[in-house]
This record gives sequence, C-alpha cells and structure tokens, in this order.
Amino acid sequence: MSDAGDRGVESIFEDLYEHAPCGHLSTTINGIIIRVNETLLKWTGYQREELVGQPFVSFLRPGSQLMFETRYLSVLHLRGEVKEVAVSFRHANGTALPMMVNSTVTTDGNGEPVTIRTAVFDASERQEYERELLAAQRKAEASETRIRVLQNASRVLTEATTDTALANQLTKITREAFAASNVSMYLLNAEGKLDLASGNPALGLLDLSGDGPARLLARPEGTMILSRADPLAKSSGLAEVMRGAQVETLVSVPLSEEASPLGVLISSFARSRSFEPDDIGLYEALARQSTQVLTRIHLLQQLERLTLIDPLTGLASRRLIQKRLSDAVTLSRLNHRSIALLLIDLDGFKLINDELGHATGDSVLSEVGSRLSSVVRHGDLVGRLGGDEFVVLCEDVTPDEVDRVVERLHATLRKPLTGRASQKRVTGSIGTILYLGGVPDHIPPDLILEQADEAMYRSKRAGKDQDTTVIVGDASPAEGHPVL
Amino acid sequence: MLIEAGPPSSEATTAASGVPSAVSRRNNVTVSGNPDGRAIVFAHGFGCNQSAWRLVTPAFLADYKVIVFDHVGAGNSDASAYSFWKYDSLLGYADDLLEILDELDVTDVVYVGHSVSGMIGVLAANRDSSRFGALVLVTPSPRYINAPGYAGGFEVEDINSMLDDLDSNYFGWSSIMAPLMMGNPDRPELGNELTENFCSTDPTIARHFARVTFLSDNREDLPLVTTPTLILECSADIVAPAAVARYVHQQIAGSTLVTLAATGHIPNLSAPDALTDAIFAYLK
Repeated sequence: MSDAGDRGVESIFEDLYEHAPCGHLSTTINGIIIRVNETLLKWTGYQREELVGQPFVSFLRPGSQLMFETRYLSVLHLRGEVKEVAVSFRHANGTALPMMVNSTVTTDGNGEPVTIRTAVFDASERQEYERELLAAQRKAEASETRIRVLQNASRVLTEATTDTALANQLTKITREAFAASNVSMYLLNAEGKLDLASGNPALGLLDLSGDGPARLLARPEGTMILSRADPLAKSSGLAEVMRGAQVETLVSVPLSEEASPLGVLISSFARSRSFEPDDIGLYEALARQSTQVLTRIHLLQQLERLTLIDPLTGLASRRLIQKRLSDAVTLSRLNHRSIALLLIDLDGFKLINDELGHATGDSVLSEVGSRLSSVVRHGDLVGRLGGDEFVVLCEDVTPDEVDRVVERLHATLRKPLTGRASQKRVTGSIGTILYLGGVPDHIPPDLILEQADEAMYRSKRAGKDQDTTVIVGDASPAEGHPVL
Repeated sequence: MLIEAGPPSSEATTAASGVPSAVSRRNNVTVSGNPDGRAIVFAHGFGCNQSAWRLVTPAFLADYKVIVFDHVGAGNSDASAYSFWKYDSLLGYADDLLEILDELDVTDVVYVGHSVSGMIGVLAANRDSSRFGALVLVTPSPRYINAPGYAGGFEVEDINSMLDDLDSNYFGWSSIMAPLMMGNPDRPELGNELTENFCSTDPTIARHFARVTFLSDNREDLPLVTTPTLILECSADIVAPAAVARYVHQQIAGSTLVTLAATGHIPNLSAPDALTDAIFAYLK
C-alpha cells in the first residue's frame, strides 16, 4: 500500500513538474541543459533530446546571449539568483519567443553550487506592449532632450556678448548634447581664414584654411557627417589624419548668415557614430541660433565702433579719447614715459557759426580737424571733445616735442580758412598738461582732462591765440612753464 | 562557487596613504595584499563591478599588491563623475586607468582586464606603456560586430536588440539589487552593504556603456601593443568566440594564447582557479 502510495505521490509531483503552468529547466553550473519539462517543450517546439545536453544560452537570440553572458550570469554567480529578466528565446520554427526567466543556484551540503534551476514565463504579449511603450518612451525622451537643449541654448547663447563667449557656450552645449569627444568652433577672420574660437583644434588642426585634407571640413555646403571609413575620407587623406587623432566620426556644420559664411562647428567622435534626421535638425537649429547671436554681436560691435568716431570730423570721439587716455595713463605708470594732453579751444568760431550758419561751422570744424591731424607727431591721437574743443594726446613725449607740437598747432590754425568761411579767421587757445616720467598713481585720467581744461582757460584769459603748459614731475621747469 | 560575502571594501586601504584621493574615490579604488609585492590590477567587464574578481584576488594577496576598482558608472564609483562625452569611447576609461596607476605610482604592473576591460587595457598601454609590465586579456574582443573578413559574432541588429533587452530589464536591474539574502543571515548589515555593491549600475549609464562596449571597433589598436600580453579564452564563449581570440592573438605580436578549462564568457566567476593558475603560469 505504502509503495503504491509513494508512487502516487511521485506521479503527482512528476505531473506537477512536467505540466506546471510555467516552463522549467535545470542546467549544470556551466549552463548545459540537463532537464526540461513538458510545458517548455510544448511552448518552444523542441524535442527533449534537442535541448538536453546543449547550452541554454545557445537557444537565445544573439542580443539576449550578450545580455545573458555578461549581465545575467555575473549576477547569478554573485547573488545566487536572478529574477524577472526578459530574454528572447529562439523557437524551433525560428521565431522569437519573449520570456521572463527566474533562476536560482542550488548548492550541495558544502555550499558548492551544483545546478541552476530556471523557471520560464511566456512574456510575448507583455513584451510586445513593453516594446511599444519603450519605443514611444524613447521617442518622447529624445524629443524632450532636444527641446531642453534648444531652450537652454537660446537662453545661454543670447547672453553672449563676444564671439569667444558665444563659441565657448556653443561648443559646451554641443559637446554635451551629442556626447562628442571634442567640439571646436572656427570663425572667419578679416582675411577670410578660419581661426579657432573655442575648443581644442579639430584633429589637432589650428588652421583649416589651407589646402590640406581638412579643407573638406572648412566649408561644408550643409551639415556633413564623415566616417573614417567613408570613401571621401580616404580619398581626401582625411582618414589618415582622423586615425592619428583617434577620431572615428566627424560632423561639420556651417555657420552662415544669409549665405555668407561666418564659420564652422566641428564635432569629433572617438567611436563610429550615426545620426538620425532629428539629430541633424538639432545641429542645424543650434547653428542657426548661434549665427543669429553672432550677427547681433557683430552689429553691436559695429555700433560700438561708430560711437568711438566723431562723425563730423572723423576724429576720435569723446568716448574714444577717454578710453585711450585711460590706457595711456595705465601704460605710463608701468613704463614711466611722459605723456601730454593738449586741449584746443577755437577762438572766433562762435562768430562763424552765428553769421554763416551751422553748415559752414561744421565744414570749418572738419577743416580744423584735418589741419590738426596733419601737424601732430606720428601716433598722436587727435580727437574732438564736442563743440569747438579738440584734444591731442601725446605719449612718450619730451617737453621740447610738446612745444613744437603746440607751435605747429597755432601755425596751422592761423592759416586762412577755405570755402564760405574764407573771410573769417580762427585761432586756438591751447592748454597742455605734461606728466614727466608717467602719471602718478593718485591722478585719475578724468583729472588730467580737467587740468588741461584749466590750462586752456588760462590761455583764453590771457587773450586769444595763447598757450599754457603745465608740467608735472621731476624736471627743471622750462622758462615760462609754471609747475604745479 | 557561490560567494560568501567577503570583507566590506572599506577594510582595504583605499590608497597608499590610506586617505582616498579624488581619483580613488571616483573609481572606488581598493588596494590590498602585499604592499611590497608587484602590482596587479583587475578591471571588471560590462554588467558588473569589482566584485567580479572576488574569487580570483585571494590567490594573489600574499605576493602581490592587489588593486581593484570600479569603472565610473559601475559599483561604488562616483556616478556623478560620469560624462557621456568622456565615456563615449573606451579611451575615456583608458585615461581613468592611467590616472589610477599614476596616482598609486606603480610600475611593471600586471593588468588583468575582463572582456571590454581587456581592450581598455590595450588602449591605456598604447597611450603610455611605461607603467605596464604585462597585459592579461580575459575573453577580450576588439569588435563584436561582424565585418568583411572578420567574424565578431554579432550583427548591429543583435546589439540593438540587446539594448532593447536592457531597457526592458530596467525594472529587472532594480530587482537584481534587491536585498541580498544569501550567505549571511546572521549579518544583515553586511548583506545591505553588498546589496549596494553587487553589480548595481545606473540603467542609463549601463545602456551607454553597452553601446560603447559592443559598438566599438578597436582592431587597429591591437598591432600597436608592445607590452607582453597573455590572452585567455574559454571554450563555447558566445560573446568572444574562438575566432576572435585567435584574431587578437595574431594581431598582438609575441602574445600568448591560452584556452582555459572553462566554458562561457566569465571564467573569473565560473572557473576562478583555472584563471588564476593560467595567470600564475604566465607570470612565472
């Protein structure tokens, strides 16, 4: 009775095993299948003898084999169990069977591993919708990432006020967005050559303008993607340069404003990469944003230049005078060279303006401007402060040279005027401040302008066509030159 | 072969001085064994971390200064140091390895790299061979994808489907990190400590590492190797088949190819003794 009973229990367990509601297989510790149940055979379409004796991994599809051999087995060995791992099994008829597998390692009395038991669940439907979800999720993530990159770019790039600042931001954003090993930005200079504006030189090349292999990258007509294996890379000789620089893929995006080129953005990748149309779209959107900002920066710089020039006389404007004076003061403190500032106020100009009108007045100012410019030393700065007030800034100058410049200024002003004002005369009241051996630290540039102005008024009070020179510093005062 | 939980990594010194430096922290570098012995570095492959070596390193502790570490993004490395552009090729990992060797100031190093770390070692030694005494490449492959005249074993679609698998297993990766129950019912705190360590990896980083590992082509780097090299292969290794091991052997002049009495791709876990013996035999 008891024998029969045991057999009954055995057969119950055997039936439970063979027809369990999940597939089951046991393998050696090396993964060779030693036992499978009926459920698994039925489901996978194999005969028992086709599976037993073979490595389990050999029935997985290649992608799953990689996953299984690297990740799954490492964890199984270290943890003794793995749960709910999705793999793809090859059905006897060649189709894919998505599975979820759980595995545990069984050990003998000494804790030595003996077998691996694996339960297998059909995940076809689950996997199908998971893959759909996954595809949708990836698409959403990719587009979200692109939008985030662009939003960030439009915020960060528009803050740039110089080419370099823009280039630094653009290369940083691009590098992060595309995981490029290097991104460099080149900008065309006045001679039409490409200068590196940011990043390490692409392929180690500082200048892309030459006839070398890199000329391909310098002026792409549109976004250019080049792999080292491309025939174009090989025929141009670029492949060899890429190999030397450990670059597998290059992306070159032109930066141009209404068809006129501004520069180029070059990304290097240390491994072979491919790009989706959306990636290229992102590249081009970044290029577009950057060229807009570049154009704005260039316009602002042009405006800036305009404000530095007095439009009437073409001389330096008050702003440029202040800037250059400040630079000259700083330099004189370092090199201890003398500097002089001459301020010239025209005598008799108001009369011309009142009697002959502003247009004639303007042409007189313009004529005076060119006369002044023609008698100063080479390198002196001539500017117009406003109205009929002019200045001359002389760097690295001696008292004698200052005297001679003053004399020449007087002489050129005394000459008869031309045009409608030919019957009128102007002269100049000149005030000069000369710092010997450089400007002391406590004297700010603005004060120097005031000092020259004071000296000029002294000349004015002394009558017209006079000059006053104030000398500051270690030198015996020349005759008639009061020293402060 | 099942693992008794070993000593927590904090018991080993983290650097020569005992104070972890920036590089040591980044790569969770642990140094143990004989401080006066020859340095041997073990680098783990894709899908795991330094615990992949726990069955192998004990044999080296008596005579060698044993150095293990986690690649950035794996194990207890500083995941915040992960940068997608730096690690978009194996060169980023090779630079890290060189920094670790510089920091420990070790020379004549025996470098043991499993799977993808074999190629990382090749790239590092090609960049600066001065610190390397020997390369041991365990089941390496310079390229997993078939190419004209080269049988890597896989097609691009296979790699893409593996990446799909990785994504599908996103939750699986989390559950793999669920509390470790085995081996230490008496010491749950040890279990927890190890739970965090065991092959845990950020899924996003894992996906990128997989892409970089399985889509790279480093065949041209093999002939440049000047460091003495031992190549260890297993039979029935689907990931790095026999033809690949032969290719690596042919391309590295003067290299030695040994077939271990082991199957599969991870002899460090499935046949640690055979692996250890082969390394000792080569170094003798």
